[in-house]
Amino acid sequence: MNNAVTLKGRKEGFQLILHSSASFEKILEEIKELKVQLKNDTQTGHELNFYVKTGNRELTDSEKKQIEDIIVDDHFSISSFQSDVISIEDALKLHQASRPRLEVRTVRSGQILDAQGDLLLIGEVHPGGTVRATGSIFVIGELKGIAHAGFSGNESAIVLANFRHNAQVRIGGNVHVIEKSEGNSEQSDEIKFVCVNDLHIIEVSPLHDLKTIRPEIGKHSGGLF
Amino acid sequence: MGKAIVVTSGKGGVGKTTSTANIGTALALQSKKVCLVDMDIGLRNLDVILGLENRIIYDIIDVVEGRAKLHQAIIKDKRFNDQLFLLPAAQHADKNAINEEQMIELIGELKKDYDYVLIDCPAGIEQGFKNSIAAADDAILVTTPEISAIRDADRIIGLIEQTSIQAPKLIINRIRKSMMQNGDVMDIDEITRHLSVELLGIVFEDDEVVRSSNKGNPVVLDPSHIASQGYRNIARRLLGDTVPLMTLKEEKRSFWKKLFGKKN
Ligand SMILES: Nc1ncnc2c1ncn2[C@@H]1O[C@H](COP(=O)(O)OP(=O)(O)OP(=O)(O)O)[C@@H](O)[C@H]1O
Ligand SMILES: [Mg+2]
Repeated sequence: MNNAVTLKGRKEGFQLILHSSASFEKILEEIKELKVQLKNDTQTGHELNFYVKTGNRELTDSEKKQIEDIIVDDHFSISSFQSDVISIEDALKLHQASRPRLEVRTVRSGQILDAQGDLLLIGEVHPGGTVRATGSIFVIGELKGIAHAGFSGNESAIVLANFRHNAQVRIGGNVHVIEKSEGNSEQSDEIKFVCVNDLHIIEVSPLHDLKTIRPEIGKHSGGLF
Repeated sequence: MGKAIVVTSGKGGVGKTTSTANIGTALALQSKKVCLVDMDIGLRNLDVILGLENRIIYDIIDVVEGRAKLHQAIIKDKRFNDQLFLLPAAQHADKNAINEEQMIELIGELKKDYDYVLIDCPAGIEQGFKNSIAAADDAILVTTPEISAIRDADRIIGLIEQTSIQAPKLIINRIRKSMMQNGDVMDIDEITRHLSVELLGIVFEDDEVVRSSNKGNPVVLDPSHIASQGYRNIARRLLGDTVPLMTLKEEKRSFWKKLFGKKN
């Protein structure tokens, strides 16, 4: 009776379960035996696909490679490795991507504040200062410099702020200058948001349109699901 | 082919940026096509006093490093119709991010499209200064009547003499009549003679300079101000007109005129 690996037939293919309590050496050994056995049992020309469940173990790339070296050949393939756990580093990344980064500070002339994911800034962006995020930017305070959302090209990002000063908003590759001029109601004493519309034109809209225009804002999962 | 003029001083804070903005604006008012180039990398100001700060998308370093085309970085001043433009400095870059050859190439490009290219030089005599003078055909030297500023101006003249640029033309800025009349500072003649360069013009100390800069409108736009007249005269002289120098006495007369005249 094997105790390091278990093989289960599923409709998607074969599930190869590696037991968390077994040593990796033992696992390799048993996979080798299993492979020989399977080769004997299956008719030649029959293709088999595996997916490997690693349980509470996270395999390194070289460990995955060792398993692939044993299993994969002309007829046998591995579609994925699935683990029940992730590293703390990856967890932090996911955690960070799934909630806005909060910054409480003043961004002064010549400074650039960069953020992965969404950015919530509590403070001021002075003229000549820049806040940049790969996601959306929300400013509680005064925006007098540049806010660049969707910095790496995400055009569905938004910038939300109280646009009562001269400022500049960029979303992806689009640029919009906010300034006081006649017949222009962009600058006012209420919270608005800037987004790129379906025609790829930057648009400043009142806050109450946010849920209609960008319903996905606020429903982040951080890419985990 | 236009002309590139560097506005320099040696000493900081004597009015290079103010002079660049105002002379440029005055030339634009005279229907010249002007491009102002801010070379004060890391501490740019020219955009601010022109009221164009929030319109900057790309800057000179973006152009040099290939992130933007020259025409993309140039900002048009909407107050003039196709007369006045600005190539902004980078705010988060190093002065050494651009060198003299790159400047020469860039300014050469600009001279094809503009009558005047005015280069706002940073204070000091380091790389920023070298870059600024490298591409210039002419130089305007700004000083105040203060001895320390005059010393630095003298040093700059010496440095410019070593280049192919002709001797710089002098602007004496921030003149306070009373101090000059009392002999507290060197007078216009003494300064000009001491530096032995041609005097391009004088600009009186005028609170309106600060007030208008704060609003992003160069003072020269409103001819009623004394500093505005100084800059308008300077622009006309650059264009070859003979304009008599404003004298301290004349200044007094215009003061009485101001008091009894219809305007102001
Ligand atoms: N004629 C004037 N009357 C009153 N104030 C003036 C005058 N000329 C310049 N100033 C003021 O002096 C200060 C310095 O001027 P400016 O910034 O033009 O100098 P600068 O030589 O460019 O300085 P820097 O060396 O820092 O670049 C500014 O606050 C400006 O408004
Ligand atoms: Mg300056």
